Amino acid sequence: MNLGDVRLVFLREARDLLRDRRALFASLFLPALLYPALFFGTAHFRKAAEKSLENREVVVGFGPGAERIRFAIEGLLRRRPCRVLSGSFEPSDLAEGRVHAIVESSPAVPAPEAVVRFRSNSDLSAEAAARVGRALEDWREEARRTRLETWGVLPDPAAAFRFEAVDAALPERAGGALLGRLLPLVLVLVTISAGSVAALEAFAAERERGTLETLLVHPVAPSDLATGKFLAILAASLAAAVTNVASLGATVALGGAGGASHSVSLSALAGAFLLLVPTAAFLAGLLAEVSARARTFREGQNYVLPLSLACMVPGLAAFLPGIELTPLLALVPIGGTALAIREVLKGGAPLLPVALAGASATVYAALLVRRTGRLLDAERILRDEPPEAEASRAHLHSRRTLGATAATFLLVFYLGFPAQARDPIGGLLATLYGIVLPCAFLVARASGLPPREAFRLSALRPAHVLAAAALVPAAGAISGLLLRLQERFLPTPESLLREMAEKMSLDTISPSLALLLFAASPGLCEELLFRGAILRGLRRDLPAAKAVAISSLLFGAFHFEIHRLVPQAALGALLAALTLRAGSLWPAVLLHAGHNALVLFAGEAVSYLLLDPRFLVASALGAFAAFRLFARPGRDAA
Amino acid sequence: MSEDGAAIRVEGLVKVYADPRRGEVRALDGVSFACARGEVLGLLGPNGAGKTTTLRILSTVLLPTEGAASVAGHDCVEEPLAVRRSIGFLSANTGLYPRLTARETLDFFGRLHHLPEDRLGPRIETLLEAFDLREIADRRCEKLSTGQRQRVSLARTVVHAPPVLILDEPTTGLDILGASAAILFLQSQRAEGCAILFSTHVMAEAEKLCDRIGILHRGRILAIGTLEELRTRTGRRYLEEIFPALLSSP
Amino acid sequence: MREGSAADALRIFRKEVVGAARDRHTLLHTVAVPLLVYPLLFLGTAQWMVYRKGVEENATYRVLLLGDALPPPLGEKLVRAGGLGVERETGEAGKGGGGGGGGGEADLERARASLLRGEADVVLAPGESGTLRLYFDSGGERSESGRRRVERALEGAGEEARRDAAADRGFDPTELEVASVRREDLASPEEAGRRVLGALLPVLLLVMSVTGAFGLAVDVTAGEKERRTAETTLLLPVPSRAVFAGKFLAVLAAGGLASALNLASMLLASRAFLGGLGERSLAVHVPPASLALVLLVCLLFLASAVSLLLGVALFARTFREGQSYLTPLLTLFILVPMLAFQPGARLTGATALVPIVNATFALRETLEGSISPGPFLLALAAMAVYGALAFALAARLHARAELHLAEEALPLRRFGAWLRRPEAVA
Repeated sequence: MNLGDVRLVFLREARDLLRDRRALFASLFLPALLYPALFFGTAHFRKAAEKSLENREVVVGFGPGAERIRFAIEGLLRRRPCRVLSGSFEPSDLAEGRVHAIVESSPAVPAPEAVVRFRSNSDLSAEAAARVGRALEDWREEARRTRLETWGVLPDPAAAFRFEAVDAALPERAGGALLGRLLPLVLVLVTISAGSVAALEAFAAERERGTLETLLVHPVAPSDLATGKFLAILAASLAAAVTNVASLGATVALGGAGGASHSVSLSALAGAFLLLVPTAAFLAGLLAEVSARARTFREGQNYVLPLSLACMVPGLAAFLPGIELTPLLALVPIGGTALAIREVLKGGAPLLPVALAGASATVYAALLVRRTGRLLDAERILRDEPPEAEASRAHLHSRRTLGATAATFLLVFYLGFPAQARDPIGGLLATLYGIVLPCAFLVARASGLPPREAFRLSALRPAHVLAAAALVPAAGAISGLLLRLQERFLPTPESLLREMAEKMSLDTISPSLALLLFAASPGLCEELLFRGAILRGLRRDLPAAKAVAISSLLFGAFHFEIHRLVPQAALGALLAALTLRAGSLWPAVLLHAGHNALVLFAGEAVSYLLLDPRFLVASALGAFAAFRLFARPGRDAA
Repeated sequence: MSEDGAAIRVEGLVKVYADPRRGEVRALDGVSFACARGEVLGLLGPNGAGKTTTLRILSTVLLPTEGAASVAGHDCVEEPLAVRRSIGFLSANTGLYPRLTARETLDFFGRLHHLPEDRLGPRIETLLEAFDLREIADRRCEKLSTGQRQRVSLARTVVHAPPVLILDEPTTGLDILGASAAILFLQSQRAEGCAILFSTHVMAEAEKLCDRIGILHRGRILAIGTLEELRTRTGRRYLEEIFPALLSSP
Repeated sequence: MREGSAADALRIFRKEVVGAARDRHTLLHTVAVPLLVYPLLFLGTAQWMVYRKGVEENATYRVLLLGDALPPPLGEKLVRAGGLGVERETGEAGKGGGGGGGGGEADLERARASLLRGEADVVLAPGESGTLRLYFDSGGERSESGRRRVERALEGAGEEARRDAAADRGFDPTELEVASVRREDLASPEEAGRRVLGALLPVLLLVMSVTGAFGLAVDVTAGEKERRTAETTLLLPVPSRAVFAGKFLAVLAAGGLASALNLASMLLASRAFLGGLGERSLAVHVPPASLALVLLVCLLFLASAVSLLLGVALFARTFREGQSYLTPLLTLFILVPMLAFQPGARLTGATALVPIVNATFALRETLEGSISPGPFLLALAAMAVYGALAFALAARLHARAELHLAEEALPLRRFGAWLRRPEAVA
């Protein structure tokens, strides 16, 4: 590496960026100017709106028989501007806007009930209901205390449990916590947006302009050129980060967020910035990689957009409440850094995970930066092809298959979901036979395969049945064990378990209908789609392992449920491997149906069996035997 | 310089591209020629004949599939950096950095060639004078006219005083004044002893400027020689007639 | 506009629309993105909530009791609430709570230390006159959730203690209920759904409509210059006003299409999603007349936005330059609705006259179905007037040939001068 050359290229890129004043303004200073506007503006408007709602007069009426309640709470209601109308009111008065809330009394057991009627689609009505509710609660609590007193229960036994909540966090920590939510996401965003301007300028625009060719005939190593450009991208993103850290920090310190001013420690900000450097290098490497593939600036922009959206997802980690920085999460690219920055800003950060986040980000950046040296491959860059050709060369069939699969998913979401909500049984059948089955043909067509070759359902042979039967325990074991294993990281909430049990309950439908609904139909339709059209379509220009992996992940995602993603994907991988091995779709159809039937009728039993090593050994033996049945892969391939 | 004094030597050059739709494409199919110091060799041929590919292999940005090429005695595959140091390369679609001034452009590329500080300054002044850029030396390239930009590009090409010039259709897109300036420039460089290889499809230019002309078609050299030699071989007078005659002859 | 030039404008319009529709990326961005984004957004949010629920249900939060806070029989009640790991620390801390002052400080220090070190998620110490002090860490991720659980457990324990005491004295604990309070929302699921839409959609629709128009606006002005087709267009035997009108309509159509597609996919996606959740209290149903009104408001808003975009982009020479010229403008169109959109704010005689803000509120009232006719009509009229003004100004700029042909950069500061000088014959 010739450092002089790298420096020369870097300086030219930097000068070029600095002279593009409008781009500079848009990517560097505009966001920095926005925070004060956004924060102070929002705070100001919100306060004004809340104040106006708090001080607005609400009109409350009482229903028939609610005289006693009226007497009790009228005084309490008057603490805020409130007009209590005399007379008796009906719900229709609410609809016609004569009152904002109506209080009725209803004789319920064990105690009479005060019902507050309101309309949530009106701000004032909701406000009135809230005020009435508070008054009623105060009145009720007072009444209960009086009753306890008359019973001679003194002092109130609940007093020992009454509490006053005190925030033990120092003001710095509160400011840091607020900043720690916002800053990581902002940093990821500005790093990408400023970095992408620089990256597109350094690679795509340079190629479009024809100066890249000139550079490549100069006596400078292409890797030095790429390194200089990479450094310019990194410098641009870090410069944007600094301005944004300063602006956001100052806004929060001056009380832009939520009125009170927060103290923000400068050393914490500096620490956050240091943590950002390796991730900024990682992002700069990604951006360089992407924009070096584009032939024009505009094409490059189209590539950068999905990348920045994808990077935002891990960047959200610090913004969403409740995600702790654990050593495992610290290893997630971008996400680990975001969490570590949040912890550093809050102060008292756990040392090990923060160090891990910094170290892993450095490793990722180093791995990526090693590749940038190879980005300026003249053979590729100078090939005279239309822009689409370069991109479309690779994996044409796979990409068509995936496109059609995405369309299938959308159809299931937009049509299947509402159908199943209206009628669970009919909707399920309609989804499977009306969407999934036709879409299997659609996907096969998109991948360019004739249906016979995609589906391979010609001859059902005894070996197919045998193999499926031998694999049923293994399939149950795989999905059951994974469900159990993931419980540590991904515990299933009670409500979801109940919902699942209700859906597949045999109390409301007959066993034969359940078999048709939950075993036979998914077995047929989903196998035609996933192990038929999708797997074979991907297999056209992908190696078997990749085709199996992608189709299984899609199968996992198709259940639209995070807790089923991994177990179903593993099941999908088993089915896909079996299909490729057998050269027929039949074993997968039978195994899928068999597995679902097992879960349907013996789900409880399987979860006990999973603890029995003998069952697991038997499953493994069955799986081994099943795959041995098709010793020569593709024996009966059409 | 190689033993026979040729500044550019190309022997049996073959370049094969893998094309997704057309399969293998032989852009060059055994091209050989040489160009001596102080000589202007023109490569003439229709679009897709392989002119640009040949020039790019010589400027080391593409690797040949077979055959050998050397510039100023340096092998294009073995010593790419040495080759790049001895060539000035310019093509029709070469651009300039819009936000650098003419002077900064020359400075940047001069430094990329590792010109020592004490030589770079005077060299830039000489070039600004020679290409009549003094007035606009500190204006950004984005604000220059097409002709001015072309002059900056030409100055950029010779900033390191290369012994060999490789020019890919240097006059395409230029107006009459610009094109004649470019031709005057080439003549002056030849007078200084430069070996010049350039490709064109403007026959008149080739007739006027070239010491020898190579006719390239579908990756092969159909004929190479002085204009006189080509005339004798085909019995036609003008290149416009010589060219189709060569294409039709077996 | 004369009849002939209207036909000319339509011809230009058609050319621009066909050109845009043939660009794969434009199509992808306007059609595929809204169709994909909303399902992903809804499903992502729902899965995230399920995940958090699972994690919170299964988490055990650590509570540290300092000194004589909740002495043993009472502390048991907290343990029985479940999901809480209770530890007790006796020693220096927790002594002086009753009297306030110094002891409270010591407790606070002790609590802060153990919260920061992650030894406890919530700390309970004795407080004033027999009550408790609950220390939590507002900066901690676990402490906030732990605090909610402890508060619920304390309330439950208090209730239980009262019932036990009543039963001990031979009274019926159920009589302690006295009365119960129930809130009943009379808004129909459709009305509740429209309120949610009114809160979510206006800003989104305005932002999407401007971003939908953005690309084409740059393309038909700066992009045209970059492709060197501006000259060709200029030499067409068509009045410049018609050319501008055609381009304006094409960009307006792009923005309108973007808002319509976003509206449609958002409504469909939320309907599908609510169905999938089995949610009964919300229903997404907006009558066609309201939808038409929503689009009308979007178009009126776009009329001035598009004219502004076209006017400013004319000063750029390349697509890229156009983008950087328009980015601040785009930011303005995104930021103002976001700032203006606050709960409780409505159209009034004043807000109906403020550009962008009036569109935001008009959309909200239309979606909610709570239109106040006077201000609403005023807002529509104001938007129409602003649109016409912006159109006239931008058309005047477009009539200047030198703006279309500029080889050199046109400084934006000469904007005013371009506008003032008499119209050139194009």
